[in-house]
Amino acid sequence: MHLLKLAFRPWRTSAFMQTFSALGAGAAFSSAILMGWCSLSLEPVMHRLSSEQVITAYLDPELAQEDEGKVVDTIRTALGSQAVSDLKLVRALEFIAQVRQEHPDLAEQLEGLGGAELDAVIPRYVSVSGTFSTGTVDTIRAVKGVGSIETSVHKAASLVGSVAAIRWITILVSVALAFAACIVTFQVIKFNTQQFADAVSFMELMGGGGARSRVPGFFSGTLFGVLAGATAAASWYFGADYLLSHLRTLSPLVSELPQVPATGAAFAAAITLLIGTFSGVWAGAFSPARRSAGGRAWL
Amino acid sequence: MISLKSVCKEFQGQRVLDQTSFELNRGEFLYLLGGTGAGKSTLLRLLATEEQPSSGSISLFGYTLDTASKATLQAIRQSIGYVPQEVRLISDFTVLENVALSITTGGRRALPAQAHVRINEILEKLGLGTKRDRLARTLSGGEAQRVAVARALARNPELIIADEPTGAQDKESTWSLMDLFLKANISGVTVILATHDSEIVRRVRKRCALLKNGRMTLEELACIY
Repeated sequence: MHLLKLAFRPWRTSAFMQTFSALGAGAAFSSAILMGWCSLSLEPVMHRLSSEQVITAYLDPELAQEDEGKVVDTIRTALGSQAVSDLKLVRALEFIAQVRQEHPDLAEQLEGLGGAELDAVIPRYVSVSGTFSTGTVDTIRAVKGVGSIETSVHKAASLVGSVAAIRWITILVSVALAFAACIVTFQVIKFNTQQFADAVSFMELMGGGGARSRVPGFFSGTLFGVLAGATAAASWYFGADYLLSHLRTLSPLVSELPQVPATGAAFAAAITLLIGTFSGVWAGAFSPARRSAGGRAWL
Repeated sequence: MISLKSVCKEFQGQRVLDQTSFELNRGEFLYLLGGTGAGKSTLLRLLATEEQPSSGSISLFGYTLDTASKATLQAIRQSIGYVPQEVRLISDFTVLENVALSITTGGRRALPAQAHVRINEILEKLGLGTKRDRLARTLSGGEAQRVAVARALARNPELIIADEPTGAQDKESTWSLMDLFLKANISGVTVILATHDSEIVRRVRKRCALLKNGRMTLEELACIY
């Protein structure tokens, strides 16, 4: 009871400082974890952007029209279980239909060619889009009936760079916030333990054990951790999704970020509580005992 | 029980205690005399295991402090009732809590009933019976000093080390304190008392040690004042 009373001394003498420091540390821990979660969530987006490609397999001009379906089936089989989002055979007329939306004049001119000339100008091709492994292009090239092949593997290179930059920013912000929150917590707890260092050192002089004299520091850290942890949980629960919804509107690149998990609130609270308690034990262990200037002391 | 051999203590190159040696048996009462800055408080801090000597060795209860383990040092401290000159009460604790803390510090979680009775008796004897629920920071200098004495006595120590415990007391309180120290001494407790009060030394004749410029120049069984 006496030790608990000592632990509460900083709260009695500077309640506002304790409260606002705990609120600040809790919000900072919550934001740090949110930023960390963002960086983790951006990783699959980056992976998708860097590995998604469109492969255009031009069919051999000599290939008979009745064999086109066979080539498409062979390509489909060759892709196996890879993540194919689209696979289609594009003939001259389908190509013109695609072109017509943006270039109606060109489409009209191409239609005017007609017959064998049209087939010579517009090659038939199989367009395959999805996330593929590195050897897929060679696999499709080896299919009988495929002439030449093109891939858009580097098309998203600039996008990948942008997402990587955003991801690094989130990591830096996360680390900086976590560091700042840890420093605030350690400083407050150190300040707290100094407030009862006189009592603790005298208790040690009366034969109080080391573990017992660390109890006020432990309580003080835990009290701070409970308040900061509750703040972290509350700010995650009420603020994380709101913040992320705004972040998603910033760029289509981050629009794919998933919903914030509700369990993050419990995680933020637990981490913050642990850091508070640890800092209390740490500060209690190194609490400055009363020492005479320049003298060697037992305590 | 207590043995000091060639003990020296220096602070920032300045020697405060110089080659001090003496022995004290269980149940003895020793006055530590000397002027301001003679080294009395330093010697008592060494005996209370608060400070380490710069050289020389100190033995308490048969244990040499230099080689004593942490647990032994803890046990030694639990056997000492120390009244420091600067009192060191916990300002936001009540009188009762300050005294009780000295008992629970020894490892007990709760205060035993007989300890409550003992604390109340000591507080009554020291004129603090009505002030047991007052915060330590509201006490006068003399009252705080008496609480520090009560704190030392309440834990049933084997050795009492008191540094000028009567310095801020009126006559009546001084003799109440001395009465408690003497009763404890009669029951077998060793007492070392640093004092400037020549009247106490003259009226209660006990063994004396005189410190002068850090040296123990005289130690006699008779009073030197």
